[in-house]
Amino acid sequence: MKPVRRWGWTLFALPVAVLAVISVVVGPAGLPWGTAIRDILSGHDSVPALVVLEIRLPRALLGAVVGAALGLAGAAMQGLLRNPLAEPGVLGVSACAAFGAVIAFYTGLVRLFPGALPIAAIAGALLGTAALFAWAGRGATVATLLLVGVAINALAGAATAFGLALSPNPYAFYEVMFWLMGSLADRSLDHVALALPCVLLGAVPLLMMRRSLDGLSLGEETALALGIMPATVARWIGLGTALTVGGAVAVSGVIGFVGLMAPHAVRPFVGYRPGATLIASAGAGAALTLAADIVVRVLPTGRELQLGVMTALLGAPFLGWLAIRRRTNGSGGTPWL
Amino acid sequence: MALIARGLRRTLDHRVALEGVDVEIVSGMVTGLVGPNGAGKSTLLRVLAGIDAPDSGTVHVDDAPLSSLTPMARARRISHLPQAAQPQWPLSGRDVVSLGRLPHGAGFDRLSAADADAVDRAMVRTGTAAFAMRRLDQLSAGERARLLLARALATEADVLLVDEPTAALDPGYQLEAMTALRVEAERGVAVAVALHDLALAARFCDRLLLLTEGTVLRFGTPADVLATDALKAAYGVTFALVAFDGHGLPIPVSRDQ
Repeated sequence: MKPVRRWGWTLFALPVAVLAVISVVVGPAGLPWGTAIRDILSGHDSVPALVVLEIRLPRALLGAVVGAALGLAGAAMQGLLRNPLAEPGVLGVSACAAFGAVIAFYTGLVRLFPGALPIAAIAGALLGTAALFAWAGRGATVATLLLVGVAINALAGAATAFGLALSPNPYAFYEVMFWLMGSLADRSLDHVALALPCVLLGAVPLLMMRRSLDGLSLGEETALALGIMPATVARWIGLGTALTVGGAVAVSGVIGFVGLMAPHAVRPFVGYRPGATLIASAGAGAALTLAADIVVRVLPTGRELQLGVMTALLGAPFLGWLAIRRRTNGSGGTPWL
Repeated sequence: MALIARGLRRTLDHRVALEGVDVEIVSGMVTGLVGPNGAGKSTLLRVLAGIDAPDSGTVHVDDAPLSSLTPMARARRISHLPQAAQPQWPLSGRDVVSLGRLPHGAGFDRLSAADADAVDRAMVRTGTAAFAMRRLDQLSAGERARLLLARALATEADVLLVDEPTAALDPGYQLEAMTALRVEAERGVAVAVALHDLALAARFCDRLLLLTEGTVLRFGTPADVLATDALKAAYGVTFALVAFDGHGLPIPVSRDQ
């Protein structure tokens, strides 16, 4: 397939816009839309207007922001590590961010100032990426990378469980447990205000590395020959990943597999160029997250399914499918499968 | 235009990979690096390319120490084709070659007319123009190797350092790849190439550097370097020299005990 040019971005932006609108429209309560829109436009705080502005809209916005953050970070990690299985959730970066957030909850830091939550999550994510790059190295094989990811996931999970076990209050315990599973329910515009700056700030170094990621396509030796310093690229991508994933996890909990699926979905459309994959994958991540969040709301499951559970239900079989493709290909040497 | 190395020493994992190596890679000539496995050919090319720093010794490109150049400036002047390039994504053939323009500030989507011309020229010279729109994973190992060579040519640097370009190629394409390097030298490029095939080295190189255990055993014309005594000392193999077209082509005969 030829790389998409010029108006190609609409291919990824359009589904996000459509799904965001559907996300605002779909909900448990039937809304008198005529009244809601009239009241919103006239600034009248009626119940329908408040439901749209304070419940539906933040949820749709968060879905787009969190999904874009995960899609972007996943594509950047896959590009840097030249590995189709790299993903913040799979490799434990998200779990480390969640651990940071849980620490902020329990130490009461969150009550001091609201920004403490994303800051703690970003610190956790930084720790996770640093451990990942230090233990696995950048030229790691798929097996090494996944082993290190399993170790980091287990460590962060154990540390989080330990923090939870110390919880004096069982209700707080349940609340955090559910939050950890990943959800966009009951979020406000304050959450958007917390996550969005982190994600935008993190996107800057990630997008700046577009051409360097292209230069890494033929391996680190060739990248060095082209004047690219892989160690520098790794530092910027580590920082950008921590900011985007930390900001996303701080407001939504752990939503896994989005960063794994989104880059694979878009790669054929951008000619497999790692740099161009970044923005396209951000769009696909946003669309995927919005779609999954719509599905959990319309599924008649009684209590609403956690979004992180939904993406895992989709993503785990996808991971299995990648593994089968790889196995039947009979070679670990074709990482794009 | 020349790349001049003096007194290079490099240790890798406490093993001496290069010791007291002096060499000049001169404009208009193909300099061949030969020697047994582990002699230090690839390490020397990496140090000459400035992607690996020597423990001691200097590399100058003309009068400028290599260490004084930024990585991008260094990559514009010296094009290096590593032996083990590992393509990770099924990019199109043209995208692979376009990577050679990256040191000039060109991205995939931002190839200037000059960049596009350089890419076209490199593909024509390596006979890879037909692969422009093919995906890398649909090409044979030999076709991929030629595209990677085109990538190195597309930079159009003053110095071209190539590590084992013929390893994956059949005899026809071996000749084609070596001819492409000769053409580069005739355009005024300073070319160095690591080779295992001594017959190709004898025919296509102006000068040869025979390395063994990280030191220079001989440096001179192919006739001087490819003498049976030097080859025996370097490889532990007895060679016969077959005369062809004014060259003595070494043929391995027996391994010495």
